[in-house]
Amino acid sequence: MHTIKLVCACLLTFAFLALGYNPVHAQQKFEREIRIRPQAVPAAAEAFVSACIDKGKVRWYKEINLGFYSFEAKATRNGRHYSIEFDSLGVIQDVEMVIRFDHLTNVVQHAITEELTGRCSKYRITRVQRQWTGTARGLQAVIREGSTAEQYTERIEIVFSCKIDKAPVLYEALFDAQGKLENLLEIIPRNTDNLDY
Amino acid sequence: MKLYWIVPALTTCFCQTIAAQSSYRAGCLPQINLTTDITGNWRANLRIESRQILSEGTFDHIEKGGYRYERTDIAGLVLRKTAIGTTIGAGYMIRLEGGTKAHRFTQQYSSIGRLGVLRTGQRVTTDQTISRGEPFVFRLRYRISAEIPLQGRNVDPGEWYAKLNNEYLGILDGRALGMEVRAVGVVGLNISDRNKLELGPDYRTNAFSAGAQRHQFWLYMGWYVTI
Repeated sequence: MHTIKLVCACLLTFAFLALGYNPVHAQQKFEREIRIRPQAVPAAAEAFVSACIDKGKVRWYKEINLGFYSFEAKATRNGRHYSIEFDSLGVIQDVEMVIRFDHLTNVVQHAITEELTGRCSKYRITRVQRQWTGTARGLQAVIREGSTAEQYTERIEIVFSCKIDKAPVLYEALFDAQGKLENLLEIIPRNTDNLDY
Repeated sequence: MKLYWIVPALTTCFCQTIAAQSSYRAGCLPQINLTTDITGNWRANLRIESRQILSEGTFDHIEKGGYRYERTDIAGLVLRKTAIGTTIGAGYMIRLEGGTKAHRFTQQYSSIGRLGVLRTGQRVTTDQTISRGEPFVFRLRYRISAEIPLQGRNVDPGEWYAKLNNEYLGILDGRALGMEVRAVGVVGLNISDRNKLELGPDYRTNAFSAGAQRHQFWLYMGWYVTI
């Protein structure tokens, strides 16, 4: 009985601590994204998306960072998933389309595979996206027709898990259209203790 | 306080056809999960769970009402990250119930993935329980979970989420084989990436096994902290 009382006292103590628990971590990036209604989106962003995507198939999000925010439209067109990002004024930043790795040309696949093999003892690609930047008119045409005569830049964004010295790490890599690595970011996976235990 | 209304309310929720002689238990299931990193790939988890019974009996006859403390489980688990979202682990649990103790040894594999906006989890667990005067119990468990963000595509700090669990337990109790099914639906608040609160119904039944049927209706209250 004494043990039980002790355990209950511990439970209560933990519960009270929970109310005031607020861990502080240095250099923690603050980023929050919330779903918003189309009415809350800048007119320029709404007009861009309306010109190339059916209205009913768009979900809008606001991404809040420290000191600034942006808007993102998630949409499906002809079975393809697009993410269209705008700044806070509704100016287009980039367009991303989810693809399969084998949709890339053999030359690009080979270049990316070589890069990943050189970095990781073992790797697994979990997401591949084409990323386009350019003029609004050019990007709208890319979404509608798949290509355009307007000038735009294509990159490949890849999320992959990578084992280095037996430690698994998650990365987001940006390659140019030829498969040359331009940027590499480590992704800190979200804490999933509520699904693990 | 008599809380008999919990039983019909939860029964309706789970749409069960319940035989009159089936027994039930209803109450609260507070749980604390404390996790800490040991080294790069290793983590330790401490779980304390307590059962408080508010009502129990058969469906045509409530034998006991009111509050009754039943038991407390204290479990420790050590896990190794084998890949992104994948862990294997082993642990020990002690159960304190009415002056008696039971000891349980656990081995588990869990894997977390994504399915659109859903974060999905799968867990396979085996455990072995020994207690004085009771037969040895072996269980094989499989649990599938889904976490659904209620505000956007990801569960960010300060946001709410829903979580659904469905678990199947094959039980070898002495020489008797049995099966238990669990279904949990909770609403959670992600206070920060290291601090979550969850609340919701937890239903458990052995109705798919031969013999006396038992139904359990719990109000699950979970607190997950990573330090």
